[in-house]
Amino acid sequence: MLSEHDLRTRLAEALHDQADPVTGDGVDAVGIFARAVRRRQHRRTVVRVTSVLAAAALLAGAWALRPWPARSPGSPAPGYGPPGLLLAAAVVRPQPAPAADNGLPSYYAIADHGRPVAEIRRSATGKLLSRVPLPPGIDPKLSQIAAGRPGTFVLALASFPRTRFYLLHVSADGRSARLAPLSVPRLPAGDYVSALAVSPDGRTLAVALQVGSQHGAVEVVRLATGAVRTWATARTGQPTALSWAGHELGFFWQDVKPAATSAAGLWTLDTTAPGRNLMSGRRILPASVGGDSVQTALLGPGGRTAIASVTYDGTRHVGAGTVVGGIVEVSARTGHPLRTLLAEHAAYSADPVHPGWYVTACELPAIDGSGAHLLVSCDRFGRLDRARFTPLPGSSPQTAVAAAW
Amino acid sequence: MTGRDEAEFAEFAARDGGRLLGFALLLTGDRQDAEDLVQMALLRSAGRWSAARAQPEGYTRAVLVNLARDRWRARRRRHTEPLGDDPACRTAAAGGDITAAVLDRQMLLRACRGLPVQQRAVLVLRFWEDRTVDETAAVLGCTPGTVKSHTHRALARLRLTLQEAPELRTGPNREEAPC
Repeated sequence: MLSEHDLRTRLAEALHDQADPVTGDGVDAVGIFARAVRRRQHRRTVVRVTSVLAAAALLAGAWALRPWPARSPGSPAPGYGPPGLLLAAAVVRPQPAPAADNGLPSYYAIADHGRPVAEIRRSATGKLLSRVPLPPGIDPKLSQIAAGRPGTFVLALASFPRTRFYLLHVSADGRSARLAPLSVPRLPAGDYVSALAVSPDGRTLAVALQVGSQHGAVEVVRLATGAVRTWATARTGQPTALSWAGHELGFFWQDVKPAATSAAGLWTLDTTAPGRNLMSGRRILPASVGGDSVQTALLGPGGRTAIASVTYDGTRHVGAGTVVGGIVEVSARTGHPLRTLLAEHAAYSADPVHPGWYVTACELPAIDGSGAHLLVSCDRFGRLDRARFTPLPGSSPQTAVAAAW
Repeated sequence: MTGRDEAEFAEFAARDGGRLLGFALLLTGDRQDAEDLVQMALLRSAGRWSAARAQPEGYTRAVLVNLARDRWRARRRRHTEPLGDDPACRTAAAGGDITAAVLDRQMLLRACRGLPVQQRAVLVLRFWEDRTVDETAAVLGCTPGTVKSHTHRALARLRLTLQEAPELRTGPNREEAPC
């Protein structure tokens, strides 16, 4: 019978025996940092023409091609038809500003991923109304924010390895704001929040969780009691966006690695139904539709439509002015595209390593209670009101952002 | 992200890469898996460098444990947990001059691989890195009490494994050990 001391000694010897000779030769850190930074930035979907000849011909006219929004977002693509199925929907002509802005929330909250502050800004102009420093030690890149009851926002703030929840109280005019801890159970160490959404009645908080590197779950928390209900799945992947339509929760499921039977796309979950299977609901929109890739999507407040950020993921039919990305409204019942609210056109990059046509995938940080007003982050951050885009300050281009109204 | 960040990261990777690889090797028991895990962990640490930079080694270790745990779970589902393919065992089967101490170590390492990743991580941090209970708790993001209970359970399980295979530890026919 080994004594405790002998066992510990032998174990230590065995561990040293195996691992001490290991050197760092097997660690290839070259380029890792740059790759990680690129992952943190907006995903850029490269769209290449297959023919060198075609590329050369198109390059000749590329100087005139300015990235959106220098070109009017609503203008139709000259010369080339949209290549994919989702992007084939008609591009909506933006309404005049007064009509488009009707019902605009008075302010929005933004937690820029580059700075540890939360800001309240006027929706119409982007003017800074108030600024609240976030607690010391938090990693601003992991911040998430969602609008709650009038005058409140819920924030998830991460300080490795813990994530905690806070409530941001904002005065009616937006000029004063106060951050306070929210009394809900804290997350297990190492779990991170990838999205938040407060239910329309303001009583329930939905939390999309990144559990480890390959799994995800959704929690619904009763704000009054702190009671938590969790839905999970054995599939590898993660929920990355949340949206409410009544008691139905929309979440965008993203694969973490290619799968033969991908479940990626926009799903709905009936939060009143029994069970704990995250995939027990219906997939409204798969992540790949006829050459178009859905980057993220939100369920509209009424539950009849969904808003999707789409990029063309193919290598053909692309030229100057081709619509290769945008924000599309689709039917929640059929998944068919109804209209393109914002069109993005191909932009050529003469990068010597990876020359080709690029489009920046839009993020959809928030949709308001009416569904008519979106906060979006494409090449620039701004609001999209009934297909009319207005740039807003509060986030630098190419910087991911959490925002809500 | 700045050039200074990248330089800091490169310095960290060069300085601690070998140590992290050894840690990953003890967690996974497989050199290839270990290299993959370290690459992934470094990638994630670089992506959150503003959070990791204060304690990059601890941060990356925690990521490694999480990654190893996910991988272990996936393998359990597929029922393909490898038993290992140790050169020492091949030598033993061939009738080489393997000592009892080496076989003890191989058996201990194999028994370690049968432990849950969190317990394995605790043993590696405590007995390979000679960290205290508090330091181990800080690296793993858990309480000292959890570290103590993991240590106790893991050692008990190792002891049980050794007791169930006494011929490997003390018997005369070590060369017949089923590797």
